[in-house]
Amino acid sequence: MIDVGLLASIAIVLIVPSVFVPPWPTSAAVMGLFETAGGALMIGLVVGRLTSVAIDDPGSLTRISDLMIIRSGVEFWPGVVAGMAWIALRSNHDHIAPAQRLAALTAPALVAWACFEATCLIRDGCPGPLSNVGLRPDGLVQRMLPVGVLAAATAVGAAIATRHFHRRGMPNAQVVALALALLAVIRSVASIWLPRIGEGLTRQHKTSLAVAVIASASFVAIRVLDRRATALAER
Amino acid sequence: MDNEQFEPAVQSTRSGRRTKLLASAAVLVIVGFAVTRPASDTSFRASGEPLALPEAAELTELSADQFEGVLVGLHGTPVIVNIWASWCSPCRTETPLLERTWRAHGDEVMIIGVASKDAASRSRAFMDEFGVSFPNVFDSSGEIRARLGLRGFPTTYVFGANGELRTTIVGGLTEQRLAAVLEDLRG
Repeated sequence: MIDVGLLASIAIVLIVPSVFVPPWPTSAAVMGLFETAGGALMIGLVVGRLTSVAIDDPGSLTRISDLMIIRSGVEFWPGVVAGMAWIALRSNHDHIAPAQRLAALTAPALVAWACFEATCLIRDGCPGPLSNVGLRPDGLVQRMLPVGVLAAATAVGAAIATRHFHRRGMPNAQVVALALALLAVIRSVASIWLPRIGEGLTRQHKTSLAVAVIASASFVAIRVLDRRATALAER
Repeated sequence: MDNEQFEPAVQSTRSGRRTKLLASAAVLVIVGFAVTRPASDTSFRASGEPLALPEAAELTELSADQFEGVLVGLHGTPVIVNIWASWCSPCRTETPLLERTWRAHGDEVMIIGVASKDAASRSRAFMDEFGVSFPNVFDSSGEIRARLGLRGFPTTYVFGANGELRTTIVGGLTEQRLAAVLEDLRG
């Protein structure tokens, strides 16, 4: 059984960010970008899926057919960490500072995530709290506020902000920390409104809160260290 | 590789515009293909004499007519019917979700599992593995899945309190999807 909605979503995630990125200087650079970003996406998917299965159903870790059903769950943040680690390794291999390459890829990555969230429209509809001004998810009777679409719009804003700060000379590591903090905050806030079973925070909500705290603390720490270094250099 | 390779060039080119045009066209085709998927068939409506619900946590064998009778007997309560099998991978993910839903919302919605295309012993072991406590029936002849028009495992049928089939979800359930269904039933 082919999951048309999910396949279409992945195709859009791969295509749209490239539409909104200006032309790259050489074909070699384009290949390097696809190799790095595509590899990060694949590694992230594999690690995220393995983590999800390890937590929810460890007995399925040895069954390839179970592992391949990504619709059943992919842990987001372990996937992001794995993707970033892949990019860092590739950067070392190419003799480039990992933070430099990670910072250059933050905005396209945020746009890619925004695209995935927005494609809830063609998967099952975008669930959220009941609302008269919302959309009607596939097969449901009531209208719901499309939280995924709102999160996507906010993520595009975050991508524009990080690119702006990057171009104005914010240190690479700080750009990465800022992007992670913004993404974690968006996911945390979206989790408040997304439907869930029972009471209490979902796992995705808890991990997003943890990442928001760590990334924000890192952002502040990098800023303080950078200012100290600048002050020392000026003396 | 130097930094320039990961920084976009400022000057736009004709090939760049052509790429954007082709990519936009591809997205339009993909979206068009996805949104024109056929809607799920909601014509099924249970009929017959009302029958009592099987015991929770048991795996009772029922014919299709008896199963329809159970659904008729549940009119007045929203019902989620989940067709599963022990060999079905997505069923392993959604069964704990259904169990959580049953424990949290069992007083407002009925959940009935239908084990089909499977050996009874394997279905029973699957229920024990996941500690299933909601009612389940065993569809040994395949009549129930045929009557509901099953297209693939797992499939979840959502019935409103008035007995009408509101939606059919083919494939694995996610927590968000299931919670949205519950919200919809409550609203």
